[in-house]
Amino acid sequence: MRWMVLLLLASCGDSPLFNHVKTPDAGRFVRSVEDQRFPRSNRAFDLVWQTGCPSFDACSFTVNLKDPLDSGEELFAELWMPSMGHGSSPFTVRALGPTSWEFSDVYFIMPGNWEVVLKIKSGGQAIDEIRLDYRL
Amino acid sequence: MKFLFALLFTISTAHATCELSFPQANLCADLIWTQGPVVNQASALQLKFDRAFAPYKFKIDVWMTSMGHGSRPVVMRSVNDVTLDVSQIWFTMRGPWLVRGFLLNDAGAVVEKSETEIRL
Repeated sequence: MRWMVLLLLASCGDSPLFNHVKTPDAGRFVRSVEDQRFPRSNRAFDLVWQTGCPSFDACSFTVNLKDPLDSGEELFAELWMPSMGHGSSPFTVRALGPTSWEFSDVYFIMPGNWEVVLKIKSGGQAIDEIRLDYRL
Repeated sequence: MKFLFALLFTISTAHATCELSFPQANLCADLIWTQGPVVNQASALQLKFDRAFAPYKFKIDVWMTSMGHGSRPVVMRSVNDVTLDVSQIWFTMRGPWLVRGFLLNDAGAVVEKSETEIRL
């Protein structure tokens, strides 16, 4: 029983794996961020929104990693609205090169604070994650 | 006489069962879900009108009144003059959603609106 209680307590709080990093410009819509780093792997990347974004129409952005992903790894992205507890529809992903991806069909379905969640996945599991804040 | 009553009853209730009813345009449409409706996956439906909706144009969306947001635009494809395929319907969270239909004129202005609620 004591072990059960310890196990339950250990599962509370933020994941030690994902130190969710906020951008320094949290609260604004910053169309371009450079040299952001995933907290665990320290991988650097740039993220640039297309001209015309933010918008409530379809938007898109590109992510450029400074170094290629390892074999078996993939880059995943989604939108999340923490205050409302919902996301949006999945993006369309297109690889532009070994270190560059375009994410399109991005729909901000309401005004407010949104997060772009970027994950590096391996074997379907997230091994690193960063959240970038955007306000519409 | 019985037949007349039956006929009148049928006519008066024919549109009452419509999921999307447009009394001014005398149009009625039912939703036939072909995929879902489900949360956080693509849902799809077929919209069947009781007669051709031309000369109107038609638009459909989903809306969550309690949260004040909708979802991404759906994709519509005309099957024939009384049937539309609607896909890429994304319900992004659980709760009550409205499926809203809009009849539009040539200029794209809404001339009549109807909605039906679904709970996910």
